[in-house]
Amino acid sequence: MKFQLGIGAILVAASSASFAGAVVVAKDSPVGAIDADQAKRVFLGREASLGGHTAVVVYQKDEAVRTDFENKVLGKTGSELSAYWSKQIFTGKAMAPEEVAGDAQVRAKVASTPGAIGYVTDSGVDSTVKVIFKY
Amino acid sequence: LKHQRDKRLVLVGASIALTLAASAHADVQFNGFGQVVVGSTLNNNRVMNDRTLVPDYKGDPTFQSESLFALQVQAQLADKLSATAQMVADGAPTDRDSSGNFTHNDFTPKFSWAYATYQLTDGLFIRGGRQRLPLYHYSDYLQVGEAYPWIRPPVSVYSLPVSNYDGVSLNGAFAAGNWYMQPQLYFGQVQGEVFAEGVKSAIRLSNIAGAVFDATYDEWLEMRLSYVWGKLTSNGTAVAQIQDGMQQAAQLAAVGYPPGCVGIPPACFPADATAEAAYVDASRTLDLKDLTAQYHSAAISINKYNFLVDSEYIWVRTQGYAPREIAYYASLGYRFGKLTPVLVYGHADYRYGDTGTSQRMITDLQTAENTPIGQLLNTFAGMQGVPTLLQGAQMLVTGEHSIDDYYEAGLRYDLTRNTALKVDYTYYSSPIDPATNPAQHYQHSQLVSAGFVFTF
Repeated sequence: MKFQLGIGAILVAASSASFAGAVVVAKDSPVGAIDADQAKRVFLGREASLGGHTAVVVYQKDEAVRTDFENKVLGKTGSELSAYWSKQIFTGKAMAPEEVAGDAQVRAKVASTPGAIGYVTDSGVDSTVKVIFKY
Repeated sequence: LKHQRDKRLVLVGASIALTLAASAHADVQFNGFGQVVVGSTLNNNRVMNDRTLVPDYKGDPTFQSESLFALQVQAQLADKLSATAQMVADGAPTDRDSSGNFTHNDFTPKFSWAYATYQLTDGLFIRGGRQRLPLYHYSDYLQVGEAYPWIRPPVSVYSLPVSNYDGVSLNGAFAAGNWYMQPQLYFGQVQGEVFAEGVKSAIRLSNIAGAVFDATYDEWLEMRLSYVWGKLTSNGTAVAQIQDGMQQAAQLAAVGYPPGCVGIPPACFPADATAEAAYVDASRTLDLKDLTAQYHSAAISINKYNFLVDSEYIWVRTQGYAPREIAYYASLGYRFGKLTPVLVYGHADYRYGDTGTSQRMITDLQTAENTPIGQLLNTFAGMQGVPTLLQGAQMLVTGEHSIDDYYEAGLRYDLTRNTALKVDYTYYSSPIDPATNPAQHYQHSQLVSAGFVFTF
């Protein structure tokens, strides 16, 4: 059983390279398209507000999806990113990002929270959200 | 007094909790960090000559000194207003008993922070309450082991007796191209305890005014400058004991012995204005009251191509007999996936008083000793088997200088995103020979430590 789980993890890891995703905000958000630097800044908690509201950054818990996003957009992942956030949170410079389970939860959170921004896989984009950056 | 302070903090915490309860829409976050660290010196020597409390390892392995658990609550009370409190439970050393053994905190949680933050504009916020004193680069998150590769920030610089201030800060945070700037101004006061030569004493840094400028380029290069100005007052040090002796000598010199007598020794040691003035002046050189203290720091961090480069240079300038210091470290690490080895060299040069002040004190005491009343005092000291004032002052001057070198090799292994194991070996040495300097207890020492760090 353990062996099978191991194979599964390897398959997921191998397939992660082919992921593509999108940074999304609520459909009716005033926020327009952003570039790679802006996306990185927002998701590192460097922007206090978004579209006139306190910025709420939403990360995904799924390891493969988040690792792909973090490598492509943030340039740091794993414990390096965790160390970065520890520094921000415990010096009171930023609130910790929200972490939700998957694409559907990101869409729900983003659609219902002013100032929220998240990322979903390409297949997770639907009409409830607006894509402002693709990675 | 300490209980009153704790009580006040509990009240602050309670009022925050009440505000939270009253505000049904408050967005509340709980986060925590901690570490379990065990350490031991390889011989019976301490790593740092009793000048500071941490790390106080000596001989037998102990978990107590650096293990800790902290919980932070952050509440968004209104759109632009938030409150933050941090509680820390640790076993850090607090005092030393007469036989030289340290006593430690018993892991009772205490508020280390409690402040409110108001967002003035997107890039500017104001904060009031008890906050971390951002003297040096890692001061803000000294205890958050998860945030740095070492088992502890380099002790050459990070051996401060105080970590918090009560006051107000004005903080900027904004992007300019690929740069991210975080300027900060703060005002307030610090109270704490220092440990010098086995004597614990209270210190106060009042009217502090500080400025920090932190600039990060593209998230891999960080440069930081910091300056703090304040008025330093300290009571109850070993220095104060000698000063007390000088003041008593001045009182005796003012009246003579027996008091008010007229004549010549040995029947009478008459009042002597020269000796009195000399004792008074000598005691003034040791005044530790409202002395100007200035703390400077310049730091750089590079995190690129898996290399971690970290360096900081600090210098402390003070007036009179207050401690002054120059210290620095340079650290190089490389991230091999989950494994990060790191090498550190650190140096600290620490002294009490400048040479002019010391010389003035010695000259004053020599002048006083040349009077009949001064000689009588020396005889008394001799009879009681204690050093004369001049001998005491000379010991103080000899012991006022310490030089420390640290050579450190560490390894961090990331277990998961938010847990890691760390090991460290530190070799300590000093060019000062303990035979010539009573304050230099050990010339060499080796410390090994291992730890587990986590955040949640």
